[in-house]
Amino acid sequence: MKFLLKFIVIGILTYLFEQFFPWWSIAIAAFLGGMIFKTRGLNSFLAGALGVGLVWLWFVWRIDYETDSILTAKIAMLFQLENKNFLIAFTVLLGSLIGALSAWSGYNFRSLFEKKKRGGYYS
Amino acid sequence: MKFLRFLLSFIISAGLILFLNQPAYLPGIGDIPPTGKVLDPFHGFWQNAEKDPLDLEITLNHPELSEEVQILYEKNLIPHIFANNDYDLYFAQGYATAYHRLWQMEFLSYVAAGRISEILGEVALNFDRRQRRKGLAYGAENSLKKLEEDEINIRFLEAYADGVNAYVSRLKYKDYPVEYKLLNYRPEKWTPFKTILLLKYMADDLSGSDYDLQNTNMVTLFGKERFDFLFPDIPEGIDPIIPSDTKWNFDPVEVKTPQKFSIRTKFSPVAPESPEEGMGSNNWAVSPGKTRNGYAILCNDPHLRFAMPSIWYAQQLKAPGINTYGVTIPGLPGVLLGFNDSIAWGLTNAPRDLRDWYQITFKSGEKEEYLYDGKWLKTQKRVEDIKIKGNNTYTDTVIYTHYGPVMYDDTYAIDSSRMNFSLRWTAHNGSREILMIYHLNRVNNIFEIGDMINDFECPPQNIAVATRQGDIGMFIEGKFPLRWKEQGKFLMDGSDPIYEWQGYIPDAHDAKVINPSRGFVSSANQHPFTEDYPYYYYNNTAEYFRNRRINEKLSTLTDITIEEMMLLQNDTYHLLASEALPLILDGLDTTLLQPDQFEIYDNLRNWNYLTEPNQVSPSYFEVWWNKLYEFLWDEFDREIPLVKPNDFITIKILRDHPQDSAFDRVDTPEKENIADVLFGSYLATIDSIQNWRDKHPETEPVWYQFKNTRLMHLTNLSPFSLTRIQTGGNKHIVNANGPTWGTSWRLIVEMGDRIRAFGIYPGGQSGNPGNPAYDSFVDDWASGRYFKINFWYEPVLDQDDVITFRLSPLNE
Repeated sequence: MKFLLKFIVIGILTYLFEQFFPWWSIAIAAFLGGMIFKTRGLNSFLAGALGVGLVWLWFVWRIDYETDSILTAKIAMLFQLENKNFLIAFTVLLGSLIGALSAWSGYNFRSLFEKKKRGGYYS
Repeated sequence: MKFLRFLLSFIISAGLILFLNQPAYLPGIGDIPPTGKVLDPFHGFWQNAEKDPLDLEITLNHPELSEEVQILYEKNLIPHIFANNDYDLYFAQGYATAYHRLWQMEFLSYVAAGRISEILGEVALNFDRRQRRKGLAYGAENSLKKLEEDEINIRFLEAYADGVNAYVSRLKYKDYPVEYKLLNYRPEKWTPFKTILLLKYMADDLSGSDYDLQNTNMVTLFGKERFDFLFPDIPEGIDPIIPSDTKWNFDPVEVKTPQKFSIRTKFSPVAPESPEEGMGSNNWAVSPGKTRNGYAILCNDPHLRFAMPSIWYAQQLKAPGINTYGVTIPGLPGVLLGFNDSIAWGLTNAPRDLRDWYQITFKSGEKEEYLYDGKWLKTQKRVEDIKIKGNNTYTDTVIYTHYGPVMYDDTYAIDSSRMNFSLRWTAHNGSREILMIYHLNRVNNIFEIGDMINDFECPPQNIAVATRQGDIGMFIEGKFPLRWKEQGKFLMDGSDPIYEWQGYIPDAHDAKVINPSRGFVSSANQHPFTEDYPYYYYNNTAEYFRNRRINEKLSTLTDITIEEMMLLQNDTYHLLASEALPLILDGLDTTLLQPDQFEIYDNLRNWNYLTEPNQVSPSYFEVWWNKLYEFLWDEFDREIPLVKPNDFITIKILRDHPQDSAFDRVDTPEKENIADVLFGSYLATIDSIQNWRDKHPETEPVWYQFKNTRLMHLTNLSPFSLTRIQTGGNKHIVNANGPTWGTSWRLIVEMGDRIRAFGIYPGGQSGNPGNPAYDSFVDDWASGRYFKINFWYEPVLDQDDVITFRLSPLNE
């Protein structure tokens, strides 16, 4: 449950921050999301990956679809990718990776202030 | 432990972001843009992909304006700008142009200024040095000073710059044209100086070459007599722009030929690059008596290096005192080629020798002083700081004499300290070409034209005109140095004042013809006149074929319609081939051919001399002609720069001088004759075609595949370029579409009570490779179709396919 919440918060923050700040603001979004709910590190990592990744995937896919791949195909060639889908996948993976690492950092930051206490199995 | 874990994760995240925010170098791929920044769907390149061709807010407020401006966009994105005063008009033009072509116009200004290293890094350093050593920015500074003498001149340039900057100031990173993102830099402020730089870029493109140093080498190598035989100033059989029966009713200014002068005989290790073949243009106007509707018709198609985004941007500009439609280079306010509500005009390049080289004797290696008329004069030094992306600034010191920049010396291109060549060039003069554009856009009839075009000094142009009053004319406009015979054709001694230019041909003596008896005027970069023009001129890049084809057609056509003019602009008849091929086919000894070697011969025997996209004959002829040319002129393949005789002379040698020594090949012990050259080049053609077939198994060597007309993006990025365009023609053909040069704009205007006009260019209004209108005109252009030009007298507001956009002053 907390995982879902975390993933949703990261997704929403990613979307909001991207409206006002440069691209690296996704890292702050994921960091904050990774910090606010208490979960395990892996959970934060995955929530960050999915939160940023799915928002990016949705926008990238929509732009590609609506514009009939007019630019995706050309940029894919520039990056020497055989297929525009590789470019979409690469973009989303990049966002996911930054989301995951940043959320994990956020989780680690939170841990600094927590007393050592064994959490429940599902937390 | 926890802290370490945090630190580690934080450093990895932050490090990754920093890395992805920077350009990088990847082995095997090369430089890559800042990956994270560019791939971000919210700000990166994805934002440049456009679903709708037009994506503008409908109303924008700008305090610079005094009244509202309406910009009406047609479906093809051509804007029609309606303003109530000049300032608002040019402001809006700057705004609209930047909206579609910002990156291109700025990039071209960097090209002119020699600043490409700032964007592309060290690879461009040599290019930048060359641009600067030519003195383009120096010329632009002189021109700006001259323009600033009168505030009115500079005001419309400022209005345009204000419009560009108003647009740029609204941009955030995500709105930047995609090239800025990929090359990781940002737009600068636009200034009137950049507009002037673009005019100098144009001057360089169209008049920035000469063969003086090559000529010097050739005289030294072959002797003057042989040189004159192969490179006559005015060969027999030309068809000049000004009909040869024209009378010159002025007293020419006297040019004093020095008593004693000499042609320097020496070898120059360096020379300016030759212009790419195929550069040129056609224009013509036919008088009402020759047309079906009884109206004058103007046609124009300039041939320039193909580029994406296209060199031209189309628009209509209307304000009190001006209503004009046509194309201009993004960055140049006004309409450069087009028509207004009274006249239509078209330009072609009027090449003439405008550049001379003077050998300079410096007193010492410091180059502080140079010898002139027995005295030592002081040089000036211009320090050029060339910023290089990712590297230290390169400082190039260029020496200036009173002639101009010492382009070639021991710091650039020459090893010897005794060879220092200073360039004298009219493009260095302070001149006001932009004012001609301003005035031409407003001119009411043909008789007003004479005075207002004098500002157009460089590059000289042949201006064809047709008016609604039914007049036609041709004006050869430019600033031409006075020359004694052959002055400046070779390297000159810069220490001797006898080699100085003695002034310029007075404006009133520039050639023009109005309403000639033959009912048409035309130009295609050929010689402007035969010998009877009272001034000596030298034109080393004259055209000999397109002009004769056009004149032959125009003199026989009657009852001319717009459709016929479209056919003529798209005419693919290869006049050169029709004159050369019979000679070489008849001269080929076919008894020596094997049965399987007849294919090309038989094919060419049956050729109709057209160069349509799907014919193979043009490919065969092209290869054979090139091989023959190689075999014939092999004595010109040397270490030092030389130029080979042109095609017109080559045909003359084949036809009239079959015993000429040129037929002997220099690298064989035997003495070859014309038959050997024809036979050898034919066999080489068979090989060459076979090679091509082996490399391209998927297709026949049909003309468009073989020639590969391509529209390359300005940075040569291939995904933003178009290749193997299905179009006919080539250099020396009216439809001049070669591999990398060709018809960059086609215009046909019938100047009737209602102006009817058609145009097309290879490209599209949008400069964005992610916009559907990036290349939307290309297919029509390639197949000879046009778009109908809508010329409006007032805004048409209730049409479905017109989108209206408003620029307003701020509401108080």
